[in-house]
Amino acid sequence: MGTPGKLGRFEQTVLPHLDAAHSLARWLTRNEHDAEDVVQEAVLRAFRFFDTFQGGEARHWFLKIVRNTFYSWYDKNKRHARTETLGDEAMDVPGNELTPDEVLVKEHSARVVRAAIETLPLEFREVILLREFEGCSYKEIADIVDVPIGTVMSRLSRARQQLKNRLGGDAAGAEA
Amino acid sequence: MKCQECEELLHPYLDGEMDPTQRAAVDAHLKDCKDCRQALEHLQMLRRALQMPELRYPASETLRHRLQKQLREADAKERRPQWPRWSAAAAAAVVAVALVWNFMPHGVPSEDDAMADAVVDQQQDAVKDGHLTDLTSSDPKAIQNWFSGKLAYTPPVPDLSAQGYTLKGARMEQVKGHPAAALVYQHGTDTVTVFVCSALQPGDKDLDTDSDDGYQIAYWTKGSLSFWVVSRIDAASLKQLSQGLRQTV
Repeated sequence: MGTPGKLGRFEQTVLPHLDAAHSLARWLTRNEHDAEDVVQEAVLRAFRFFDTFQGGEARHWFLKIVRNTFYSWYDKNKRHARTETLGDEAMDVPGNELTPDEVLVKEHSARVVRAAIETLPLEFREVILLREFEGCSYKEIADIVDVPIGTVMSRLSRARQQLKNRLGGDAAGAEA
Repeated sequence: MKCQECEELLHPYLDGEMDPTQRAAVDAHLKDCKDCRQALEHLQMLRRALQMPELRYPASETLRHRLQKQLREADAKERRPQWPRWSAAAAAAVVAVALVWNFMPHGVPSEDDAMADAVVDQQQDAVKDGHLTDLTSSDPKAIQNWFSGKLAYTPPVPDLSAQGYTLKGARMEQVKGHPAAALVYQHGTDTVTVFVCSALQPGDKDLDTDSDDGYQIAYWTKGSLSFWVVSRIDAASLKQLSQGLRQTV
């Protein structure tokens, strides 16, 4: 049931986080068209459930819906034989010989880092996105992804290790 | 502190997720250990690399406009059912319209008809793909856990073994573009699938039945969820099962 002003409140509370939602969806789906579908579905879903939002961190609440919407979309599309990097095989990305600081100054560094993130397995990709791009705390990530904090920590550490390997900065990981 | 331990702690250290005592212990180790200092430096470099503005994807203006339009539509749609409150006459008119609607045998498809079509379509697709379950399990709790994080609600997963329906598993579905839970039961050689969807119009609505393309459908709404039971078993059995089901969910 819509109460007067629901739309207004939704626009004030949730829509300021649209960029964060889109960014998350874009990184998870890895293309603009699917990202927009996911965001659109997530926004409408958030609006439908807005009455159940008890206040608090709207961004965190909204990002959780975006993530869940993504997984519904993903499950649906996976059934129709869409492929996704689920293993942790490192794809060959350009710039493997560079260390992260060198990558920073290279002309195509953004492209290289982007490829490294995009080839991370989903479960690692989402924790790194939530931590590095959205600045979520471990506790928030644990809630959004619905795993214990210990799992968040181990996924983050493995995600970073894989990113370092892909970007060539493996000096620190040489002994591991 | 050993290097291996330190290396694990570098992540919470970097993320500011550490209590002062632990932090001091890591600081002490870093002071003496060049390798770990270097490992931290690499993590910091990685973090800087991830700060590049090129890695952010803000929403486009086109998307923003489209969403605003859709939200206005969704808002208008949600408000619509409220209008009978305005006057008794208007309420009576709604009842009249609803009656006419129910008596139209094959008139304009209602929302329920469209939903019934959609669940039957999904069921047929799943049968055609030979993919009835994403998760095979006879444990209601395990199925419920599997759905957590996938849906904005927790679907009830009733145990119907006493009635002769064995739980086979579950799958995620999209019904008219909305994610839904599909619970799969086996009865002899027949499959009974219960779709649990978020209700288009929350509230409590009595059991209703329909049939489409050889499938029998029974459906009702309870609170914010709508239930759609779909099977090829005979209409009477499906109705009986659904009536029992409606009491338990």
